[in-house]
Amino acid sequence: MMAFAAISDPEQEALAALDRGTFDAALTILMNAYGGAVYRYCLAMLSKTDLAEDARQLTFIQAHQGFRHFERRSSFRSWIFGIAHHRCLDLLKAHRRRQDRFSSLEDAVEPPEPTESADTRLAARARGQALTRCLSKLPQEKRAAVLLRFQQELSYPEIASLVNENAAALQMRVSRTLIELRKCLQREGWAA
Amino acid sequence: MSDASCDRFEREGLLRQEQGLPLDDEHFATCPDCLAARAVYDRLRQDLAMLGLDAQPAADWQVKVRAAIDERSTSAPLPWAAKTTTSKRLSWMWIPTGLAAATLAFVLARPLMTSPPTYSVRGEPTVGVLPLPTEGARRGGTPDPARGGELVLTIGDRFIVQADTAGAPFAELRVYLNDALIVRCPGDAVCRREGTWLEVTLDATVGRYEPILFTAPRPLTLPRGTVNADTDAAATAGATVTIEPSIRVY
Repeated sequence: MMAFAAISDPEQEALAALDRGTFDAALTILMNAYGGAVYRYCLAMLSKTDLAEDARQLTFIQAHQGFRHFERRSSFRSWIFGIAHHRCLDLLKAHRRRQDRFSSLEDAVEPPEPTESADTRLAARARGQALTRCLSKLPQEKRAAVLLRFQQELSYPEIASLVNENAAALQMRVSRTLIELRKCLQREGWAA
Repeated sequence: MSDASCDRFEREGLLRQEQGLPLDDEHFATCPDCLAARAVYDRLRQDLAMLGLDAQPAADWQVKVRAAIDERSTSAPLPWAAKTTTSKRLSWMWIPTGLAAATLAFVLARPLMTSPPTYSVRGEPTVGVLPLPTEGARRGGTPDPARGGELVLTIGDRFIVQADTAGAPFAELRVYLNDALIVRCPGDAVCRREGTWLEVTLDATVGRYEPILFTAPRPLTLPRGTVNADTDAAATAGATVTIEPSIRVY
């Protein structure tokens, strides 16, 4: 007799939890499923680990408060990222006067010269740090668009709904932002 | 992608890819520059997808989320939110309680003195923060040892920041929210002054509040608007900077 492992779908599990009125259970499911991705998004948006952690916590606190009003028109995932996106913007606005907002990436180190003998893992990390620096130099709307598209793999209609913009305009923005990032990486010594 | 190379992929190909359209023009399949550019952007997309995968966030973040939710769910409605017409009277009713509790808070406070006062004082300048109580049972804000003893409040709470200038010739209580100066006391409308005491009552919004008392024997420098800039400038000018553990609002 064959045994089939149940495939866990956080979206369905969270919906079922909401239907049962167990908001805490729904929260747990969503935190386990999307907490890491929300942190990664917020870290790339905010460039600071403590702010990213705050944004993530605020996101799920607000999600818990909003369960009663969740209209099921979108996935939990895009709903959660909509909240996260706005909390990140709030924190960015609050820190707009901070002089070292984008220049003091806590975990950033100067990338080593990419040489053939460099350890692959270290080189990948350094390239990631260079990319983070390049992202931090972008206006928030461009940064958010490329992160939601490629880091979080949301569709353009999802992103458009989330940031209340036109999908075609977002496609244009993302393609231009990719060029900006490529040029920035080139300036940082990462040609390809 | 240099000036001498073909940039058609960047001009057309990238957008077509984002639009979900095929690159069916033969040029894109044969032009070496376009093929190279395509590989570069494919890698850039991969890099973006991998960004932050090695990040190691706080292990206890879910616990903190639940604690904040629990705190909010067990908070009683604020009297001034429920009864607008009586809010002012109720606020004043709590002042005596607030002052008594503030005294306790001052004892517990750990002012960080960058230098001893050089003027005649009747004690040390102090800053205290006091969550305003609600009707009925009130837990109030809770200091979080994990965050250096900062006070944790929830949105909608109210709190008082009180400072004793200890008779300093020049003194100013400043409150920063997320590193931006939001209140100067004296000066702003929310400020109350009584003798050597300065007091500010605030409605808690999301973020991190930092109350700081500046005292000096000579006029204080004008604020620049951020904690680091203002404390550095004040310390350079010989002022005393007294810092209360911050207030975190969820």
